[in-house]
Amino acid sequence: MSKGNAPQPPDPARRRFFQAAGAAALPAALPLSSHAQGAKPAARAYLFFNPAEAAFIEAALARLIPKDETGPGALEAGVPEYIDRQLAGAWGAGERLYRSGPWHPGTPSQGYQLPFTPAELFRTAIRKINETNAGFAKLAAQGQDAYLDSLQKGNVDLGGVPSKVFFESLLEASVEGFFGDPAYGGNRDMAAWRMVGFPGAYADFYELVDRHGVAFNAPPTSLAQDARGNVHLLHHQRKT
Amino acid sequence: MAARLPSTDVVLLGAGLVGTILGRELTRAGLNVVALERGEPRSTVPDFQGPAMHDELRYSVRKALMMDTAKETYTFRNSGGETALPLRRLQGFLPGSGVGGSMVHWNGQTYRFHEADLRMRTKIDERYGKDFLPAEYTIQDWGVGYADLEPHYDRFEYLLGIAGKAGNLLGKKIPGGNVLEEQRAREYPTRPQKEPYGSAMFRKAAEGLGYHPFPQPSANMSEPYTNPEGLTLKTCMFCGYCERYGCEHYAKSSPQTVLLPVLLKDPKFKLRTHCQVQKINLDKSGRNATGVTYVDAQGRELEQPAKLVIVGLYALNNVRMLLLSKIGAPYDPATGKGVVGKNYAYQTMSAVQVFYDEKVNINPFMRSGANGTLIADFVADNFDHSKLGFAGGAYIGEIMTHGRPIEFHPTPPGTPAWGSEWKKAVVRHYNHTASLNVHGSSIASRRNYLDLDPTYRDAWGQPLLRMTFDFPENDVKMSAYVTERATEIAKAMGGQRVAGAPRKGPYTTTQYQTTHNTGGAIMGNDRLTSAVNRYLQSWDVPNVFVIGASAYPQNASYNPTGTVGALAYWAADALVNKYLKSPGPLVT
Amino acid sequence: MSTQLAWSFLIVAVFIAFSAEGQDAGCAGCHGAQGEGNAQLGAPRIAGQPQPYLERQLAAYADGRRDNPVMGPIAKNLAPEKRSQIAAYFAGLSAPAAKAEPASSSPSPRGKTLATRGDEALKVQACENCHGPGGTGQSGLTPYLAGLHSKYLEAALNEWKGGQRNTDPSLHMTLIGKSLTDADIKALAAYYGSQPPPVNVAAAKPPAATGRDQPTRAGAGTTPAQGIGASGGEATTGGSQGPGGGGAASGAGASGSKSGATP
Repeated sequence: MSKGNAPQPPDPARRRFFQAAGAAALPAALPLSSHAQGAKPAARAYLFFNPAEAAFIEAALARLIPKDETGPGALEAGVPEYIDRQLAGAWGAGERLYRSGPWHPGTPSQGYQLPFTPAELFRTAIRKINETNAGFAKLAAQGQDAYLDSLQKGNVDLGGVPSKVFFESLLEASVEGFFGDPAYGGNRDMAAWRMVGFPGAYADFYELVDRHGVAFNAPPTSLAQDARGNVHLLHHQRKT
Repeated sequence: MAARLPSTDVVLLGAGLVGTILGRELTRAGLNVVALERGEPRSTVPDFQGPAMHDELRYSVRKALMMDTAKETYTFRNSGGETALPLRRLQGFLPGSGVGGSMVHWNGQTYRFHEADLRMRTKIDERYGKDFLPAEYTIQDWGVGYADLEPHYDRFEYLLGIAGKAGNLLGKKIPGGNVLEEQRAREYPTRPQKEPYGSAMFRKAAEGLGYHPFPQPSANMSEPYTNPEGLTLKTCMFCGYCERYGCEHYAKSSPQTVLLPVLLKDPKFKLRTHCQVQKINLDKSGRNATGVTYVDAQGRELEQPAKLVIVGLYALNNVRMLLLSKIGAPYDPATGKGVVGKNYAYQTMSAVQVFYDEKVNINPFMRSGANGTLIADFVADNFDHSKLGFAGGAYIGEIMTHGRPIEFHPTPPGTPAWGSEWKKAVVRHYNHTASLNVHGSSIASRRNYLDLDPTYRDAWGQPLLRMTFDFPENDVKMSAYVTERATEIAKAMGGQRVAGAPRKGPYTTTQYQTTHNTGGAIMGNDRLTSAVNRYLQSWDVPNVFVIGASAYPQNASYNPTGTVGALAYWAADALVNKYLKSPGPLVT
Repeated sequence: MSTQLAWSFLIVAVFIAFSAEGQDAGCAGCHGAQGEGNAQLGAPRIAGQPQPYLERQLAAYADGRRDNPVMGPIAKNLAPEKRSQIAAYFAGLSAPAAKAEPASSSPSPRGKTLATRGDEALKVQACENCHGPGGTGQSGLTPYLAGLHSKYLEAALNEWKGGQRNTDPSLHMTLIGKSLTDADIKALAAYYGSQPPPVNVAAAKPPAATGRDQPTRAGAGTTPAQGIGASGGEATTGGSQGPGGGGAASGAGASGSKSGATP
């Protein structure tokens, strides 16, 4: 990521990137999360994923939300960690899920009808994926995209999990981790919020709402941010 | 065997909008009231304070303020030929739980229904003939007219401090307000909220096409307001965390902000939380309620005797409570006989998006829950249906409420669902897209109904409520027509591209549409075709009143909460001034 | 303060205002060379406060929305353009981290409670809903409270309470001021007075000549010298009507899951 006053390039998409990069490159008053600024992130510490699962997740996420000229992608934003924490926590264990049988496949209008908790669903599906496509992480991007496409559109049975259901769950979790508050481990440095221009958790717009079209450029804030701008990760999931 | 508690005058089921209003009116009349709420206590401080409240993952996605579907849910099927299955997660509609109920986390959009909604059967027959609609559609008159409810709409709006602009003051039309509304006795209690950018563009486009746009009536305050109970609400700050969230600023009308502080000071009002009512108990005759049985937080089964039972739960749960308590004949779709569970309806929703040039900053995050601009030109019977082949209608408006990015990251049709193209499109369009809503009525059909599920149960062992519903053809036609009108307006809003689609079946519970579930314990003047009379008193058990959107014989174009409030005051008025003076059936 | 003292300050202030020194020197007499404020004089720290906020205070002193015998005449003698420049100047300053006031000998938790939680009985919401994390300001419009002198904070809250200050169009501060007791005001003032003031990140860079080349995004909790965070102006609608044609949009508005058949 570039530091300092980069000259403003004419292309709006690139300008946004530089604005975002400029923000991330500011000195200590906006410290980043536990990863050293600008350095490659240290090996991720997972609570839920084993190394084989993590390899798949990281490779898949890098294709679902890639780093590109618009800005950081899912990996840079810490989305694997987000998903990991969620699966290791109450949601993964089936909080708020009606878990009584009998179970029938149902129609699309009836929603999710499998007995798996989210943790079980991910574990089961990824185990099957790693058995049948162990080389996924090593494929070229095109090959990975084709495989993900087949999961999304096909109806491959992943150990009892229809691949469509797994893919949708993975994509939903990725979007949550990308755009959710960094308190949960994703959206590192609020990069996704900066990319789209979302202000975050502090929001009082009484005086701006009727300034139609105003360009709002203030940096976003996290609900877990302290007075010095440090974002404190929520290490235990709050009960919902 | 349930332990028996000391008797009270009134037992209130639910401490939401209905429970709070009825609690206040009945304690004011001198009665002792016990209110039983299944969820937890909630107050603005500390429960709704920022920044913790502004957590999209926790509140929008994990639905922290909603009912816990691990313990109880609903089963669903599109038609009687299918097997209903449990909604293992809530997605399509989100009933709340906890003190304040759904009125804690609503958007605050507050309207009055039309005479044509309340007397739909009569008005359709008069204007279009008795054969206009197929027999499948079991629309009915409510048993009350707009003139009956007007003072109660007024009272509810002044309790809440609704921000709006009258369009019809005692017959005088006022431009800038909703000139198509039924007449009002007085102006709204506070002025309209500030109009955001997208709504302003909608207004100009709608005016240009000859429609009559007006500001959305809002329960999010435009200015500080002290209501008749002496409670003060403060100005809404357009934080963009309205629906699904509690308000940290005391700016959204909810039981907490408009009534509870007064009610909770009254020693005649006793609120018990974490209490799951199991059923209403009847005496041997089956025509008199003796109280309710409930399970408290520790799992103890208790009996609360009472002389009067007010059922003020979430609409669906009102119906379930009657079925579990065996009050009223359950509806049988095969024969069309029976009343409890019939005429379940919903809301018919669609949307049209306008994609703008990058220089146009919509700022969707600067919004309140009810700060839009809309038109009523296609609401109810405000337009001629004679050649259209459907009844009902929808309002069209730019009524965006937020820009929270997990939920809102619009992309034009044809954009892939993931990958670099998706990401680029999200970045390009996030702050440059306006969305129009088409918010439409839901007709009653003999095929859409509620009953008890034969298979699935809640954590207390009771059968879940089963919902059988799909969009009737009438509403699909209505949606097609009004969405086309909406698209015309969208094209006049100065964007680069417009994309929308009407609502089509099958109805799916996997996509959030509204939390506007109505019917199942409908009101009316004929005990053979309604569950409660015009005062919301059970025809079968006169000391049971069932108040809420469960009473609607069909659902109207507008959001239901304004009318729930009006019915609550209307029923309270009948209770205090008629029933208490002479307990017994109010309609013979 | 006593009438005599007030008059002395008034004379000094008028002299300074008419001095030939640059815009910043005039204010520095009370507010310090780096805008760090002067607790004895009751002149608040203004370094790093948002420009629109400072500008609004000067305008309010001038037109009476904020009633102050010292600042009133000073502000009245400043043309709006000058007020804007002064506000920009101080918004861009980063005063050295002032020594935070020592927490009082028996600190009550009341100040922190009000700041971070509010009070249900008083219908007062948490200060930090609007004033940002740790009271370090927010959105470029709401000032930071952390590190302001407790005496000044007390005086300012009393201005809200007494009605001498009407600079909040939403009226929240007016209502909050009137709801707080004197003890609450003291507790809040002590609490924020004992917090270190926020670091003004943008000010750490040398100010650019025109300001246009500065990136507009800045560090958390503070605002850049130029623009707030929100630059005004009419947006152009631009672009012609596209092909439009109702596409395959979901028909249910912007939110909603794709298939929803997920756990």
